Amino acid sequence: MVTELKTAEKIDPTTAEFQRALSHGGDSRYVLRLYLTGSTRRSIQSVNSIKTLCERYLRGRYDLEVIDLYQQPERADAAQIFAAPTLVKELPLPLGRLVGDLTDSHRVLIALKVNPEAEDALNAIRKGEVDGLLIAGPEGRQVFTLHGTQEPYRLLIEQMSEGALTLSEAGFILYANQPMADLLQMPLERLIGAEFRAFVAATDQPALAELIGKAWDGGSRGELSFRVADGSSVPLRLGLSRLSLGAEETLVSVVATNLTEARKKEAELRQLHAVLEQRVLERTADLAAARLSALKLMEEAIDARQASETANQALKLEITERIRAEAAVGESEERFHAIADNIPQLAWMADGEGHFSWFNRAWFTYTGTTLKDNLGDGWKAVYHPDYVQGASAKLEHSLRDGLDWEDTFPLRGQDGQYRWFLSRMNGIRDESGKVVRFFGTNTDVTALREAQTRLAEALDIIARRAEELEKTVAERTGKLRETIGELEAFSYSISHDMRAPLRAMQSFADILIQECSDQLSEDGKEYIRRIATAAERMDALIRDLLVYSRVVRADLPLDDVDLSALLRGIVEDYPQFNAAGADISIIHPLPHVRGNASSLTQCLSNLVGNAVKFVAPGVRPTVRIWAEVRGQRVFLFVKDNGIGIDPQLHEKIFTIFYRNSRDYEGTGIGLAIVYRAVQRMGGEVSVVSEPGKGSTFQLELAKAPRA
Amino acid sequence: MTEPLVLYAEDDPNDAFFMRRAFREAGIPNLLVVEDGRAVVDYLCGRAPFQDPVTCPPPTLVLLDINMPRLSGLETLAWIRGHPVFIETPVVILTSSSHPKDISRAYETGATAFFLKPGGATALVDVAKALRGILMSGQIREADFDQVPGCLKRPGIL
Repeated sequence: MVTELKTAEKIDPTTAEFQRALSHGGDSRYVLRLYLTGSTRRSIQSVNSIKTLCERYLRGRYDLEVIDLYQQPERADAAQIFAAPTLVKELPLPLGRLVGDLTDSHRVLIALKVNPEAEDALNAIRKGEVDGLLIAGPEGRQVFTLHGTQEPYRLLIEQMSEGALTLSEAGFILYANQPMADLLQMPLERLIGAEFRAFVAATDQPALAELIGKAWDGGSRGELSFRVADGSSVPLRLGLSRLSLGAEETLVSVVATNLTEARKKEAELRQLHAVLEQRVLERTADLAAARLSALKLMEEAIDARQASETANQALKLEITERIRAEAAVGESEERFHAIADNIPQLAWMADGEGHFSWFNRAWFTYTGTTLKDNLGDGWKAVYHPDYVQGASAKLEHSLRDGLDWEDTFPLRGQDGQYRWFLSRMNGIRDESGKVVRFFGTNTDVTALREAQTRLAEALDIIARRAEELEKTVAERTGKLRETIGELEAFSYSISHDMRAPLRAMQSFADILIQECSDQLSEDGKEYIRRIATAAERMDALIRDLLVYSRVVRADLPLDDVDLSALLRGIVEDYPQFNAAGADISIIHPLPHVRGNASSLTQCLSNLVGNAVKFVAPGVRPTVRIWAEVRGQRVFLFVKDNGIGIDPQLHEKIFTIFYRNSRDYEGTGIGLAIVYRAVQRMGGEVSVVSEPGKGSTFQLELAKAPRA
Repeated sequence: MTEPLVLYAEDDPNDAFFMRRAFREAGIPNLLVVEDGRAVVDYLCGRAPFQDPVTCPPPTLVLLDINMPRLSGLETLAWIRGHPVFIETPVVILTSSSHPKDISRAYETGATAFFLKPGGATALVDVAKALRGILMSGQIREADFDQVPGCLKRPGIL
């Protein structure tokens, strides 16, 4: 036992010294040179003594060079050595030297500026020879007793390759092993007595505190990053446990494993995993592609099989047919003749050289000839003389070259009349492809040809008729245009020439009353008023008729019409509505419709005008206008509080010149204009009304396409 | 400032009479009625019988009937709008036709306004009074005519 730290007074300076040693001297490396002269007894003693001291106090952190000046005299000059033995401390600075007796360890240590007590204390702690430490902490000095019974534990952790340390209740490191010092990159001497939490970042301290707290309750595990000397951080896995060392002493033992490698391995593993996953994905994609192509191949195989089956089937059928055909030929030529005799067509056969050898019954019946008549070139006799040369030349050419033949020409019947036949011939070949016989038919196509001719004639007639019709239509259209033009001119002249005299009548009547009323009797004035009224009425009729004729006749280009804007304009622009004191309310917004703006203006001003006009005397006209959209149609309603209309008259009111009441001014044209205009815009107008209950007119129009 | 002069082309003597009377009633002293568009052109060109620049100063406003012999109202309007001196002179078409084609053609040709001839002498006096207000303001703007009874605006209605 080297150091006893029993009382505060006694241990205080020593501890301070110890701590200073830990913090200052403890981590510097010593470079020592021992200069000797040969192997004298003193030389050997000096070497042994220095080596012992170094091993004891500077283990692991000193270099000692022994120089024999007999062998290397030049070194003496370089180091300015004038006596031997001499010990030179080159590092740490300042340079120190000691000449003479080097066996006095106290003397040597002073020269080396090694604090033997601090070094001894560390060794003592390591060996378990220290019973207590006094450590200066923030709360002042504290005594930590280290009981001797710790020794087995110390021995154990000295042997461990993991870092290990013990913590006091206040969190100071009471003991640490070399691996721990290596982990935290701090000399062991400085590590002992340090605060454990100083090695973790502020943010991790709560976690550390929790780990230690749990350790006091029994044990805990966790991972934390520790800050080390070079500024980097080291991830450590910590295992903490409470360590009871006898009745009065309890510590926390911490075992730390460096996770840097593990983390690196983990990262590598993750990367490997990712690579693996990527490979799996790629492989999966490959597999999917492979599966797809396999499926496709399978489908192709199925298709191929089906195709081959079909081919097989066809082949089988062909073979069957051929067997049957051969059998038929071999079986009975007679049977074939029997069949050929019973067909309605004329039929004949020639041998492979083109010699006619057989004709069927229909041929003989139609031509009225015998087999003998037809042999050789005899058959040509029934060909129409105009066609015989061309047709027989073509036929003979086909017979010679073994070709199929087709032609249409007349054949003479036994009655001497010619009928048209469609004639066909095919060569019948043997296995080598050589034509062994020709089989020909003649089909009567006279009726067909006649029908075709008649059809062509009919088409011709139709074409001529169509041409005539078009000409007529063009003429009539022209005439109609002319008429329309005349009508236009007519209505134009009505508007000018007929209305001018009416205006004159009205105006002169006005002037008469204004300027000559003192010369007129009351009757006279009344007559003049009647003239003016009649003229005014006539003017109104002409005006309305013009509008009506325009609505019926003129082009009504259809556009997108904003009903809201249109109705607002109508109510603002027609002062008579306001003059009547009418209450007109429009429920905006109204939709856009497809219509003709000026025609719609005319219609709606007529409807609103009627609504305002046809009220019982003394009633304030109230008009409500709103719209509903149903699908692609817009329904616009004009509702009034007027005198109403008998349901029996609902259809009549839309006819021209019909007037429902003689009590109100009107031409009987207004609703007819509405009816025709709405009709021409592809809409409909209708009314719901009863006498005394007001009327609701409904306009149905197409919704504007964009809306 | 000299009294404004209105030059009015009208072939119907009755209409000419009513207009003279209406202007008198409205208190516009200077109304010159000529029988057709040709006479308007003669007046503006200073041809006989309108050669005296003192008695025949440039008009403040030209009123044109449409349907007239020799040179119609719209032809006259086109001539005026093609003349560098009178291109800015206000020209009002006054007619008994409310045909949309007449209205649109008049505005396209450069009419300042388009009026429908009113039925009755009293109504014409109202038109004349409204015109007087515009003439007396010293500055004639197209928009002023919108307030005159019988004016048909640009997008003509049936």
